[in-house]
Amino acid sequence: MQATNSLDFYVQRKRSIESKPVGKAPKPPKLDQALKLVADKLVPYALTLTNDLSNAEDLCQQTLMKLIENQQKFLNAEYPYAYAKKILKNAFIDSLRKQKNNISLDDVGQELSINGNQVAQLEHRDLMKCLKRHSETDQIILSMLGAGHSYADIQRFIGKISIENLRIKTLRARKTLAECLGRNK
Amino acid sequence: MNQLQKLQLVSLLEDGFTYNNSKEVRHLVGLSDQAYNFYNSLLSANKKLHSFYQSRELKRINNNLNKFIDKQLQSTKTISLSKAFSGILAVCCALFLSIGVLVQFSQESEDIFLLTIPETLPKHTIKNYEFNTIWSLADKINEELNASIYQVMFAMYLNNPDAFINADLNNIRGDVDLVIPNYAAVHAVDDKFAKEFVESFL
Repeated sequence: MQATNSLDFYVQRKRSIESKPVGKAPKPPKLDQALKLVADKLVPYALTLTNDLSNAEDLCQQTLMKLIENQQKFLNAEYPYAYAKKILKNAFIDSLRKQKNNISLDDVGQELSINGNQVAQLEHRDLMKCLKRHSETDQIILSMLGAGHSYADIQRFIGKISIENLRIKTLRARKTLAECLGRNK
Repeated sequence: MNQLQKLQLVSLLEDGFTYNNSKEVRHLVGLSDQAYNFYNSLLSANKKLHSFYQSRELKRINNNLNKFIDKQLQSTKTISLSKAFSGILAVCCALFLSIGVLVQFSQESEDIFLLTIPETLPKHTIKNYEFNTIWSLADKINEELNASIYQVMFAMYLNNPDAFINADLNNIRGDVDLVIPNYAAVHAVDDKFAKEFVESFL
């Protein structure tokens, strides 16, 4: 059986001495295909980190550039989504350091640049405020569920986490988010 | 409503059950006002999450990122092509410059390296006061030219047509320097023929 990573792409690994080659190896993944799959998942996470749409887009672009530079590592990684997520987070930390931005992540003083009415903006601000009170993993879970990704996708994005554990985390995160938003009402 | 009941309610909602289609949900929500409020908050949170993370702006970002990926991957290909092209261009420029420098150098060094080959070889002459007769002169240099006196005399006669009065081998002009014939000129004539020629003037 061929080894695949969480993108269901073939990963070249050392075969054991006993194992025999089975047929032809699948073709290596196309970079653009893999990047588009990952980009879709990066946006919600970038948004939870930056709290701003334009900054999130910039961060995703930086991450994609780095993924293109390190395409071999990315495509052959066991968890390519998690690899991309790690790069995005490092890029975010770097950008914070460069800007000497001492505003903590909990600080939600910045307004979300979302077009719409004032009520919608306030609702989004409350949502982000409550999201920031969650752990990073919970933020990823909630944002990705909100963006419509499946449990399997979230599992791949987070990395080493079982579906059962993910489900429990999701339930707790949803509960705490609802409690937080209920209190703010 | 305790934490366990809250989790149960979340779990049911997660599985797609609602107040309208599930008896368990209705039971849990009906436990207290707190449970009812929690249920509403839960619905509101889910709605807000969906409306925010599936907003038009996020879809636009996703589209932009897809375009960005295409552009970047296309540019990496074109970069490689442009790199190759620029490399060729650089080599051409280097060649052109080096040729220009060489041409310039050759032009500058033309005067230095150009061998000016004279149309006629420098003639070795002997002053008229350095000898008395053509015989004595031929006697001096015949060994050097490895030829007979007659050969030398004949060659000298041919090389200095204006040096002899009335074309007489015995009458050399006093105001003319004689050109010493070279080796080839001396050996161009047969010794026997030269001897007969010289003796004809006696």
